[in-house]
Amino acid sequence: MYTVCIDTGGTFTDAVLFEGNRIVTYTKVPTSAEAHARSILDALARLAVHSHMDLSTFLTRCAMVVVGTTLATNTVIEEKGARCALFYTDGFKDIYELGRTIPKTDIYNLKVKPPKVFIPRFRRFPVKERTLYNGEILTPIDVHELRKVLSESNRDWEVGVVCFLHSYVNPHNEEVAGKVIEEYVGDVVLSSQVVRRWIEWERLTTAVLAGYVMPVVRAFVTELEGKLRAYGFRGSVVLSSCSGDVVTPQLAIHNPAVLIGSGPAMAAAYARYIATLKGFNNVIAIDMGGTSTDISLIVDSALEITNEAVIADHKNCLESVDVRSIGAGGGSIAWIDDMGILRVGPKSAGAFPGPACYGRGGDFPTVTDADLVLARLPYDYFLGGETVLSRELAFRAVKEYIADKLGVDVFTAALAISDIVESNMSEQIRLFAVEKGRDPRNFVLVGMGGAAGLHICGVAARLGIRKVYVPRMAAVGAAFGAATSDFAYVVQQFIGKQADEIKDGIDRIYNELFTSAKDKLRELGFEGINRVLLSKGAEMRYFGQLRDVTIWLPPAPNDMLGDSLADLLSKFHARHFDLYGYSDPTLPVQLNMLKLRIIGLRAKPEIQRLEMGSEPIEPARMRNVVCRKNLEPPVPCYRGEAMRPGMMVRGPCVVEEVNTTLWVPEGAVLTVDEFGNYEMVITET
Amino acid sequence: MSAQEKLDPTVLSLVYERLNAANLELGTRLFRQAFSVPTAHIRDLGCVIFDSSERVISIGNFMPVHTAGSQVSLKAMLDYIGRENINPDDLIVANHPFIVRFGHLADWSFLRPVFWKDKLVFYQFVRTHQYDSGGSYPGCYFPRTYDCHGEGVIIPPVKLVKGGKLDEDVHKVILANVRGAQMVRADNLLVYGAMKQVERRIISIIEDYGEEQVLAAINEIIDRTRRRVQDLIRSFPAGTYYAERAADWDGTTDRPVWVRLKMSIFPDKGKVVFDFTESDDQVDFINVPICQVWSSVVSAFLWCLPSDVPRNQGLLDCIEIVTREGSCLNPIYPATSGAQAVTLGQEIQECVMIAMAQVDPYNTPATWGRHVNPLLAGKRRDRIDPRTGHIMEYTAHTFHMLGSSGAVWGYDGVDGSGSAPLGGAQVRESVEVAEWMTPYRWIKYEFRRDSCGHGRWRGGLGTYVEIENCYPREVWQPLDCVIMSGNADGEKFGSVGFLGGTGGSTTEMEIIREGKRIQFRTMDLTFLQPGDRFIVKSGGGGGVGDPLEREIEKVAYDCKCEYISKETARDVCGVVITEEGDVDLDATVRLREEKRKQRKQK
Repeated sequence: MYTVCIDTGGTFTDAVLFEGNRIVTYTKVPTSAEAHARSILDALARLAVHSHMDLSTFLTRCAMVVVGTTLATNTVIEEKGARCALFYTDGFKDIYELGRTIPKTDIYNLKVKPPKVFIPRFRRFPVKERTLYNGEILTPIDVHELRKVLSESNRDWEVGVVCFLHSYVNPHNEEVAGKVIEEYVGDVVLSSQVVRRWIEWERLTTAVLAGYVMPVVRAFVTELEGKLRAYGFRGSVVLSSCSGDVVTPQLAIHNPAVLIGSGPAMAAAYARYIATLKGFNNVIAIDMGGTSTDISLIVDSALEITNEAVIADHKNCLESVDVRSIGAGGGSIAWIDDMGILRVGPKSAGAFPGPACYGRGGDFPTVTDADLVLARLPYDYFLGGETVLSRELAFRAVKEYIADKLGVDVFTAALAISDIVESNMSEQIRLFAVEKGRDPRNFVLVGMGGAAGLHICGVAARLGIRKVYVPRMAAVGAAFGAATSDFAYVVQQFIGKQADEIKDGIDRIYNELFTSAKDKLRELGFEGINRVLLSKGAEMRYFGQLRDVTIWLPPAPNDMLGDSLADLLSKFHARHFDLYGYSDPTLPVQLNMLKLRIIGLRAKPEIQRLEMGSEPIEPARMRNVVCRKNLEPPVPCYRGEAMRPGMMVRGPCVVEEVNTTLWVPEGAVLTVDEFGNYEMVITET
Repeated sequence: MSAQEKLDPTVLSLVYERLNAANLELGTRLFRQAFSVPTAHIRDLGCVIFDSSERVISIGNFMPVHTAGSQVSLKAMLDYIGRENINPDDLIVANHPFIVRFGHLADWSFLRPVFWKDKLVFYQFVRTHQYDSGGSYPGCYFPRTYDCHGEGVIIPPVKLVKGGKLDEDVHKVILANVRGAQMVRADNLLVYGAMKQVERRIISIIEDYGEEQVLAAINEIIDRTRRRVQDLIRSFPAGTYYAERAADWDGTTDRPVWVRLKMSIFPDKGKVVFDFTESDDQVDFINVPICQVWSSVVSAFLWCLPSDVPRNQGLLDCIEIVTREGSCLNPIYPATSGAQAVTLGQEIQECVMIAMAQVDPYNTPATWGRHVNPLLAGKRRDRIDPRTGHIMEYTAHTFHMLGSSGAVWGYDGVDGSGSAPLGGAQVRESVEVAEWMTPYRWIKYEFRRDSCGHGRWRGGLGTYVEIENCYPREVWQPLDCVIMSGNADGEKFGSVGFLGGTGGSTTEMEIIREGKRIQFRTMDLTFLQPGDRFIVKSGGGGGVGDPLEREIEKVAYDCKCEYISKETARDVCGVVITEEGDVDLDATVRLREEKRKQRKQK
């Protein structure tokens, strides 16, 4: 039986076909912005043709279709979601604006628009109710009054979002209100069901995101399943989630916030798979595209997770892969600021008009133009030669806008652009790692995305990283990532207690959490709920601190005995030291939210190991490339398809792939490994 | 050719970006896990890198009050310790208001030299609001102390760390004078650890490009910044511009305290002189030492300049500040200064903005709503603090009562963005967390309708906050629930608008006790009883431009959202909204014409 993994990005829909755990082939079709389901069908049709079958026959042989979609993310970014109404605890109408936990950072700029809110004030309805911080209900809901409010509303909204104070500790009032609102409108989102998070704004913004994308997610899932069934598909559909896992369609509809941010999460999941395959414990993955670069971390083979993922002006507080997006990509524009200082980005020429060298009317010099001027990027092998890049336009842009203004020659200017983008990227990567308490020097840098190959060695050298890895399948990395993911879902409960107060009770609470989650998960279509692994976690702080550190214990079968509290505490002290430079086991520790990650393991694809040869490789050609200032020797250029496992080349040289180009600088050695991927070691910087 | 002349433009860009990144990293390491509420929540900290000649190289994007002006504190700390006594891996701490020239004793200044190959190359400077700094009450916002000694522990510059070794004796003396010594100690070590880690980053810049190139790049950046700011000043009309603003009172004597500014623009010299000589004599509690005057002036001046102007010595070189010794903006011993930044500090900012509005009105924002953040503190006899084994104490800076920024031509103020001294950097406390920590229950926390200044662009709104004291009566004692409004201002003066825009509402506070209203003033302190309700209504920011020019749809939207009332829409903006909530366009056109006519007649 087949498994198909599909990732619908904004531009392309990628699909990878597996038979059992073996990759058969992969393909790419354009994404239709209006109809994501159709793009998926197109991709499936392409795979069917490859398998010499019609679509129906092909689909009857598919056991599972794994779908990653940017639909939910794009709905948020493009602000095209549903009209939602908010039902709030009377007296707290403006938590949505006032309670923001994303601080303003550009404090010297007052010429700004306010952060976006998806529910305007006139669609926020007060509910007379009150729960206290200890879970006690002070004021039960007056159902008649709520009905009155609902019947008086002109109902110019489709989704009701309910967020009451302290519902993380006792969701009863939200549940009662939800039932009443359901009598009036089908789609109701309860904040306590989306994410049991302490801090009302964070729960609210996440619940609003879920409500905002709910109709569009449901329509997509329903259409997709309908179409697949119509072709005779009898297998199951699963969707990639923001935590780098997969979920059932029922769960995605129930809590659509799980889909927001799933695209970059899947690229990170691919890097995690690579890390496991290669035995790299710690990886920094960069996905460098035209406009931006996504950074994610893998520590001890697990993705670095956050519950404060920021998307536009909002926060998604579900467990999400921690992806930092920075404004540096191939299309980043180089410019001279008001003080005559050369800057690169964050503005980008994007896909259109794109870099000057595309010849589509882009005037400004970009990183790609600089790469072309330096001849590290071949002008005649872009997309395997499908598109010819204009060296002349690139030269002109770099000269006119940069070199002439700085009073330097065009090569110096191009080198500066390349240097600056690499420096910016490495500073941002370092800051990201530092915030997580990680030292980047202990990591392997894994590069994905079209623009990564030309700059990854430069970035690595600046970070003090010696080993760089560029997988050849990176072009369809997100689709492949989905194939490597497990089912997972997180349930949580607020306890707000000091460690001393819960000594023996903690595993009992975890068990209760698991028991209560079982029925819900069955209802949401998870099979094999009894064969899962459980990862116990907690949000912890030293008593009196203001923020939590989230600690996760490694996944283990449910029947494993252990002292979870002791393990959590020792991990907490160690993590606190990594993050903030000190820890103090004598300080009392508070546990706020207990979390349980329920994991349903899936079989992982196997990438075939190839035999390592030892034959030398001949360059396809020699080209003059600017290596550094005043040094433009002819360097060997190799064709990617000719590079077989075991082959080794030394920098400076260029490897020309169809979808990307690798620049191997002086001092770096590139080998093709047993998976056909590129592994580089930087011996000197 | 000098090193600066042969400077590689790439090195210039890289040094510039990397120094700023290093400074950002320092702040980032600090604010996340401090025990101090203000540091962790509102990034109540500043980080500055100085070069060895004590010039400001990089001012981070954190709290405005801590950044510009730190050169005053730095020099004073070095003078006191003696430059010859500065050694590698020293950490110097100080908060002495008459040495570092920065009041509000809770804000401690930390200084650490950065050496490279035995040579002093940079200084790192951090100022953060401590978990506690002693004094009669926690939080430093209580008026009417006898003198500065009542406001808290006073620390002259002293080496907390000498050559990498923590001086436990010194630390013990300091910690014996604060509440929560354990937490203050942890936060001090956090500062030290973060500085050490960021030092490596700074050193790596020198290692990568060489000392000569780095210093040349720094000189070049400062020179270019200075030229950029001078060019901006050259575009301003020469002249002298006046402004005056007042705090409600100083908490002791019931009369307003005036800040008076004479701002002179010298386009030919590319210089602006801010002369505050005519300000009132020193008073109690709200005096502003000179370092803080600098911070307030520079932050407000920056809001009137393009936002990408770099913040370094080149900018500061274009500014001259004059204050009179013995005045409220240059107090002498033993004056108190607990409320400096959030009261007269904000009045300084307002004066600068009012003066700049006469110079460059289309780029100058209307003033912010006055700072209002009464502090709740006290003892919870129903809980034991596991850290100390004693009765638990709480201090809540919720920031709920803060208003908003003013409008600037083309932009409305941002609703809920806070007050000028914080510059919008704060995160308001979660109600859920506040109820967990304090004995209070929140009854209402919403925008206050009509509290903004109006205009073609309106200011952001103030808030309405009502909380109830739910302290268990059976254990309550009279001093257990103190409320301090030493960080509240604006009951007499709200924000001001420009170009025809109006100012926002003033602050109103009251306590409801057993059904009776008790007035509660700004710059005050009182004790709440179980069952008391405390109500604060704060003002919003000022508007910009003629309210009759405001887009009709925007007025209608504000009305539909109840940010403003129909009456305000009609009376101030000339927009007629029907019973059903629709715009009566004909009536609106007529009303606006009529109002313009009336104005002309006046």
